[in-house]
Amino acid sequence: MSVAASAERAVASLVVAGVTKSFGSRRAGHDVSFELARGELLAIIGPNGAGRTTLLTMLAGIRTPDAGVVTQQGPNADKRIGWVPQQTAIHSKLTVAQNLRLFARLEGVEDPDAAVERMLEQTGLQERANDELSSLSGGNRQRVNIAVGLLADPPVLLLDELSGALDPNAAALASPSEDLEQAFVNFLRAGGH
Amino acid sequence: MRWIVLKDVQILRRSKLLVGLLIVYPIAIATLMGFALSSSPEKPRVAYLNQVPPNRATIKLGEESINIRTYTEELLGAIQKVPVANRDQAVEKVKSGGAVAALVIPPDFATKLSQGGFSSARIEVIYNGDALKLSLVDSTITAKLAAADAELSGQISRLANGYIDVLLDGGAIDVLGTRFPILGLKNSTRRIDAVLADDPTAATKRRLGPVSKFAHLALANSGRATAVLSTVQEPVQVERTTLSGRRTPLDAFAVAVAVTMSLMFVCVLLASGLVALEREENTFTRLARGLVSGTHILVAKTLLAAACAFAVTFAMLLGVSLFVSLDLSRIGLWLIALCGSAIAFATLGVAIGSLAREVRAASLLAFGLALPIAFLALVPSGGVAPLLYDIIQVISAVFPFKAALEAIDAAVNGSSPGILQALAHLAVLVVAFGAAARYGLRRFA
Repeated sequence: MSVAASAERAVASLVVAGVTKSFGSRRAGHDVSFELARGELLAIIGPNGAGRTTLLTMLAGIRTPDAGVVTQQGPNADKRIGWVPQQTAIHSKLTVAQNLRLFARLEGVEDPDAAVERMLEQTGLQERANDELSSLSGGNRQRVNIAVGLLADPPVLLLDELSGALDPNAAALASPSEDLEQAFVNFLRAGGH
Repeated sequence: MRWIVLKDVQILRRSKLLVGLLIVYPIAIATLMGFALSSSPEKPRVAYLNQVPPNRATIKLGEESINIRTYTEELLGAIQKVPVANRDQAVEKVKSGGAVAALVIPPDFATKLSQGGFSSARIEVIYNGDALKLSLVDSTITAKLAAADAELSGQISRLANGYIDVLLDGGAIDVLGTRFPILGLKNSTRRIDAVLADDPTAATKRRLGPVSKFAHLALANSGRATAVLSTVQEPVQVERTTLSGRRTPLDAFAVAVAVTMSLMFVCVLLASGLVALEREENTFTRLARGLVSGTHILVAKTLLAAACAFAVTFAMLLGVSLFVSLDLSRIGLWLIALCGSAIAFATLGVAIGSLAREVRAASLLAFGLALPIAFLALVPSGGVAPLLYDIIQVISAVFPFKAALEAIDAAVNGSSPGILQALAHLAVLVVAFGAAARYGLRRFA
């Protein structure tokens, strides 16, 4: 597993120091350290089973590392890290709007309805707002999945296999995900997967 | 936590089939149970042939007469009579399925009963039908035969007691229309004693002394004859003693079992499904980032499943009360027992859900676990070997079905042990299964 980053600003938003995780005798990550500044894009690459998802789940606060620390810094350090998991993590029996509203409320967004409207606009799913998730295509579900991660306008956004079900040409998400996706597409074109 | 509950309610509202089942289920079960418990059992159709001539339907025993209708009426009360003209018709009815059995009382039934006693008088029963019906008809007729025999032997015992009274006190006995005066043992003794007093010679004493002694001895023990007769009439009398608490009538207990069973299935299936759904849809990882704690997720699922099951079973109890007499003044206790039991079952459900990766696996596990637990809890003491029963008791104590049944039975029927003991047991299980569920959630991430 290797870490590639493009530093744009010097102030660190996320500091990862010596993070290690093992499952029994299998090591999923060993002594991973890096710093991430605001506006910086970072790609974590490696073969299947290298521990990329495990690292992201530790950064997201879902798993606890065996050793090392993950620290948020800067003016928005109190805000939760955004998380877009590899597989869609949304409720298939709820509508698009209900899913967005639920997570907006759970994220503690001040105006959940406004946040829902904003994300519906950014994902281009206004017309599907009242459709059940199960009736959406895989790509549209992935849009909602990403939108949930962006709802609370997080200072750091973790994207696990972002392009999994997205149509690269149709991706119309607004900033910052548009940039992220473009960066990811460029990365794939460079053959670095 | 309220947003999680709201979300699950929204999901339930969109699962129309599930909600429909939750509404239809208690209504259907309550109606079925009500009809089953309030209607009498179906009487088997039995071809009936009484070949005893009407003028020979009475058994004459001395002055007393017994009509064998007393005997046959006892049998007919348990069956739906299909009259036939002769034995061939009776056999044909049974063969064709028009009747599951035939009951034939032969022409000499009354004669043999009056002449030879019970052992020589016979009736014929011809069976047909499947094994279950045959068993039902057989047991029905056998039971009714025993009751009829007891009734007849009671009448004969009363007659015999009358004869013994005449033999002791004196009177008259009618034999073939001729009345014979009977001096009686007491009068005979008095006369012998009078002769001995009037003629107290050694010769008289030697000749009449043993007779007088026998007569006094016979009089002194005459009471035993009637006692023996009553023993023959009813050799064993059953004295019922309830060791503790109130006995619950079978139909009221059936209500408690049905309600507990429904409560268990709705709670366990719903709670396990709601928890497993979070894992199946990968939403748990999103929630576990600090949005909601694992304990809050479990509590939300437990409360929602318990509330749904509570509403379903309370409606069921009210429905059943339209058919079966339930004490509505105990409705406060119903609510407490249903509430406590629902929470315990729902906690078991979330523990099961925390073990499963998907809803289908959780449902299968819930069914697979709940059914045997319910059956084991209903095994009566003495029904199996003592060691096995002890093991069953331990297993039943580890899961909430038995304690919930005791709580609901105590609330609905006032049975023992009381509701407090059962609720305390359920509270311990809630803590244990809650901890197990919390531990199981760790595997989710």
